[in-house]
Amino acid sequence: MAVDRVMITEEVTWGKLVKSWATGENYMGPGTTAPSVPKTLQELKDQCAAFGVGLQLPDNITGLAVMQYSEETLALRLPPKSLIKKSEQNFKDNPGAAYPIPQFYDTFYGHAMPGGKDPMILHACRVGDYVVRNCY
Amino acid sequence: MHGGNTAKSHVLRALSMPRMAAERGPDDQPAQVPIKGLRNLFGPASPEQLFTANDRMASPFEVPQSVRILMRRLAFAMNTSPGWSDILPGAVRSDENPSLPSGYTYLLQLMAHDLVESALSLASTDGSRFGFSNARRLPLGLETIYGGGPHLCPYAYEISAEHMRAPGLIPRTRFRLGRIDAPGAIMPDTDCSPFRDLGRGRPIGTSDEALLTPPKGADGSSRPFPLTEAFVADPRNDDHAIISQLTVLFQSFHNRIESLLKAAQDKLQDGVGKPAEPDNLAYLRFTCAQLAIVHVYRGIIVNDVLRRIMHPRVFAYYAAAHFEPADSLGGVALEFTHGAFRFGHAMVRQSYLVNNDTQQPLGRALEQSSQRSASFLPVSNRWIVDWRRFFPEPDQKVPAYNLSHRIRPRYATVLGDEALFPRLDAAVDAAGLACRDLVSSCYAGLWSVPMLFGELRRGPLRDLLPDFTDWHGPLRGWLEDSTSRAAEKLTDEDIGDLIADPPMPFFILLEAALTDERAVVSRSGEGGGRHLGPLGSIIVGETILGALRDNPIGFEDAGPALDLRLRKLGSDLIGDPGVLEPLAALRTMPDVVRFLGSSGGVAAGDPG
Repeated sequence: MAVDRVMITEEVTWGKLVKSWATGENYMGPGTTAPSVPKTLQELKDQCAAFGVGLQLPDNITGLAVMQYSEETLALRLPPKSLIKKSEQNFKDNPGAAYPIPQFYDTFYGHAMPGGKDPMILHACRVGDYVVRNCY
Repeated sequence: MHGGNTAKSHVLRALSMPRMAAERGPDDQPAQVPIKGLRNLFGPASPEQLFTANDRMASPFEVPQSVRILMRRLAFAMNTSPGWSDILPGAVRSDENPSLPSGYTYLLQLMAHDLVESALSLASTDGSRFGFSNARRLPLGLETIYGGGPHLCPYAYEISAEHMRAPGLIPRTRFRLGRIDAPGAIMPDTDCSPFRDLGRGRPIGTSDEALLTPPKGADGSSRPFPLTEAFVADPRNDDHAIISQLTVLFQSFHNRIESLLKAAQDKLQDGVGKPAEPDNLAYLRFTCAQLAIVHVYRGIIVNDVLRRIMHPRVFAYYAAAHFEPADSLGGVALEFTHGAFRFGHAMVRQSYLVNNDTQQPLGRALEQSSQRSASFLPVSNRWIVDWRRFFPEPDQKVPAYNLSHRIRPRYATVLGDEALFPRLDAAVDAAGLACRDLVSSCYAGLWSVPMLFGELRRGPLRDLLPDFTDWHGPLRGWLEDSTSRAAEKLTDEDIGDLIADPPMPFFILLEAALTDERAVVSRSGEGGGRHLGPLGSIIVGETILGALRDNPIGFEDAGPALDLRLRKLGSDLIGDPGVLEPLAALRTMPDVVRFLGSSGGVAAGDPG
């Protein structure tokens, strides 16, 4: 099935993979060894399959860039202009549609995220947050 | 014995401590303890006939760590099970099965609830059987929907004005339904959402500490009280949104028939000098509706479900034998509950077209349950199922519908979600449902697959199965290929043990994937995965047909045909032999959906 953005299912295992790559320690559970940072898209896909992470990529993605910043560097990971414009157009074309928040937020907080506000405001906040926050 | 680290596991193990003495024989060896309502296929299997992972286990009561590790490695191999090389006719994707639309995935789950009533999992109790039993009194009698009826499960039934006038006399006769959470789906001429969810509510004026005051959101604002109670006879039917929607379908079916019968009773009473007592009429109406629906349901199980899920050669064998199983014992086979019937888990999709052409991720449905996440309820309009998308008509083009996954040793990644299915033993197990199914099967005391092949090949079913040695090559091929890509690899010794004595839930899936239509083992798997293989079909057929034979329901003696039974039902209980005639043509689930869609409403957008 074609997708228009990166889709992850089994987010817990995906997060543990990322933490394993970042720290070099094994978060993946008994019987496994710490997975190494993938060097190619195929390596990434293989690791996701091996650990049961559902990873779906848009057809246009053909390369992989992995970067790890230092505590002294502010890393601004800017999204492509085309994808920002595409999301903005999507909000205009679908007024009232729910803002796509990952499910784990609902699950963790125990209730669905309330909607109803202007999605463009939330979009701006989320884009800004993700560029600077670099979750750790 | 080792334990899990979850609080639930500790509690269950603590509860089960008294069983340790009882489960040891006079020589202090573990002893086979019968489980009420459950047994081995064809009667108790001897210790040497049981699964031992090729002698890694002394008994199902003491599963060593090495076996749980073996199951973990096998679960990892299932993650990387090879894909299909072909696309089946009628499918768009290689993993889709046109023979089994997705509604059957969840009908099988409902049937499992209707065969076995148990709140315990052997995997979560480290195999303790204390408290583990099958409490189902009338298997495949829709007790999972009706419970003990309105007197024993009053909360599942609607309070009518008639009942309210004389609550001690006139029974509740209709199922209670609940409004969906759909601000945009307003019924005509009202300001309400339609009744398309289970009846749900919350305790008021009770001692529930967490419900004395409204819950607070992260910003301190008050949030609505969660709907912590689902008014259903079997709480497992509220495990997720699709199974609760299927329950609503059966409840709506009952309510539709009850209305039909009420109209017939009113017509018959009209002009009668001394009308019948309303309580008698209500009891007769409820009983008639329940029996009629169970007769239809049982017909669907044989004519629709078994025909689809069983290998055609095995189905033909049982059809020729008038659906008489070979196993003459009562009760449900453990090889069914903890082995073959787990195949439904492999049919689950990652997402579904629920009521429009947008895919909805299944993870969202799994969080809609009063017991697990009451704040997400009632069920939202995204999960109000249009059943034409799950039980399509033959050759249906519109609306687009969901096909289940072809059957093979692989589960959708959502069933590996660590948040939903955490490791039962963090030090040993893998997260996910696949590892749980494998571990449960070790504790259940199932027939060893090769031993069961041998047993069956000595009896009347011998021509339906190959020699088990035919499986050695395909088993090795699949195991070596799949584990080569796995996060944790099987050792050569592991592979040898799994070939010699494969765990049943795994073997049943591989058999389904690699058996062709002639019931010959195929290494390529081309065309496979449409239905169970011969062993899986025999276990499922024996269990379900045995349950139907051993648990007859009223009016079966009117004749084998559905229309004869319905005529006698209508005549004896309502006084109108033709009143149930519209049901006589309902042979499949698409028939039921069509019947309700045209006269009761189950499609999205239909009025309630």
